[in-house]
Amino acid sequence: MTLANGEIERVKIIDDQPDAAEWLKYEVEEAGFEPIIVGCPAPALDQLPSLIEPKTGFIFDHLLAPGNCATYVGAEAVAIMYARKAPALLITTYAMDVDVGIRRWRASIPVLLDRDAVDQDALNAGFAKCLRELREGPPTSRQTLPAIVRVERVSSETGEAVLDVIVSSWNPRKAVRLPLTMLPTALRPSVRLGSRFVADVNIGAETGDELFFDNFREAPEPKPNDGLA
Amino acid sequence: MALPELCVLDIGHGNCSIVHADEGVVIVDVPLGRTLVDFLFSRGITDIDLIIVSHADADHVAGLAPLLLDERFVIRRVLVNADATKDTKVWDDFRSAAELAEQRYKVDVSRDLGSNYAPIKLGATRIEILSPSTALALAGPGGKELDQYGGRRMSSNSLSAVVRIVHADSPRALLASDIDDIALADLERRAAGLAAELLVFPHHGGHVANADNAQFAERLCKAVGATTVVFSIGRGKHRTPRPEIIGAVEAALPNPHIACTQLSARCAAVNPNIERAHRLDAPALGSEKNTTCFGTLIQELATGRISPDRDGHAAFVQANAPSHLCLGGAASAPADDVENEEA
Repeated sequence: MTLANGEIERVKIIDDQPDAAEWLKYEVEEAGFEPIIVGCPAPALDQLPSLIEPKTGFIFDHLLAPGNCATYVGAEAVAIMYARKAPALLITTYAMDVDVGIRRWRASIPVLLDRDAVDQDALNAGFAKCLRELREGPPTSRQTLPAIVRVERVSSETGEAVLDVIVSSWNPRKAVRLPLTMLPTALRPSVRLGSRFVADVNIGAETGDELFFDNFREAPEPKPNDGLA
Repeated sequence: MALPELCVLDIGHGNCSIVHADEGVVIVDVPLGRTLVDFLFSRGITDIDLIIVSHADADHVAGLAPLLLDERFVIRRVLVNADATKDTKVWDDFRSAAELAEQRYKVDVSRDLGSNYAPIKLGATRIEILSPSTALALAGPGGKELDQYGGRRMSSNSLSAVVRIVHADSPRALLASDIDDIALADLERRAAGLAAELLVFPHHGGHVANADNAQFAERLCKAVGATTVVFSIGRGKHRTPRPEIIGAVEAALPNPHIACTQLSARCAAVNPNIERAHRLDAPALGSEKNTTCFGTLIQELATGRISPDRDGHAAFVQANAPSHLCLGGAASAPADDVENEEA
């Protein structure tokens, strides 16, 4: 059995943990693909496209550095594959990676899977979704509109400044986290509790981990005498 | 697509209606999400003459910022009322976007939404703003109605805009936003013409402040005399519509067609994972989640004809909603406590 009318026949697995790679290999086989474990160290970032072959998909673990497999993260690798229209899935073990390490690349990651949720059905559905997006462009849930982004909290996570923001046109009751470095350098001094920006956001997303942000720019504060309050 | 048309979008819990005519486009309420934008693109609409924000609640205004800030759309005017009680960040987000839209895109943001606003004409279609009256608007949210009428404290819902769409003297639709008993009593005192073939029921069929739910529904339905009553709901949100309201609607009107945009959990505890063959092929939040009951609705304003088909909807309900409230089911529905159904 092959997926999507034979569009993918083999899947290359890039994971820094040998046990985890073996487990993925089993699931890939069960899903009907030929699994190929790419050994560590993985190719350098600029050499990743050399892995692309016809009818080949990819699975990247997000954290590749702990096992000395790569100096980059899987999210960046998937984004490189996306730019070259190669179907690639990203797998993460740590929920907190979604907020910072993955968020900045999320626009180029059609499918993010929790490692715990990986099975043959998830892989088949994931590759089908990925291929569809590469072929037809992003679905509306992954298309951006300009939105007001309000800063609810500024803090630090493992040494990196992060923002918790509300996008009220997506969900006024749920904050999502992103790294401060997603904002242009010139805007960063303006960041404080309650500050607002305009950014392009995929407000049709179902869940917070699907949200991505681009093109941050200034938004005016409401004037006390604007006649609306 | 036969223009002019009224589209009542399935956007989940909230309200969003579009009057689309050859002569122009008027939108009433913009809730969160991108369903409205998808609808506008599907119709090739980029020029919008007027956006009416009925009141300052998130489920009516939260999606306006993306529309105001998107350079692909030309928006000429936004009509809204100030709301001093809405010291909410969502309202301030809208104010921020409005400020930007006024400065950069020269959108006219008017703060004089009320019944004295001249009817908007799009060819033979007339859009009337029936409420809030000047008396209510002058008091504003947080103010009190006149003592002789009870002196009750008004909320944002009391000041909700009520919009009627009339085509060639045929009253086609009444968009009742989130009005409460204060607003309805004010409309009754002024003998405002509420008659319409289609009623978008206020507050999504949730609890009505300052009133008995069933009596409120009965009074409103008798004043409107609609043949179709729409409840714009999101499955799993706020447990709407309430059974006593559906019961009162069916008692007040002869054989009304009750159309919930999404399938209420009250009517089917488990969402049937089947194709909704009767639904329109138009943007709808329930289509994405497969939670449609009636879905997005289109009313041809020249004829009054409503799509999708009533019979197809009824067949879906009979087959898939074991505890359906419409079609006479509300009478046997278990009563429940009044809940806090803000929004």
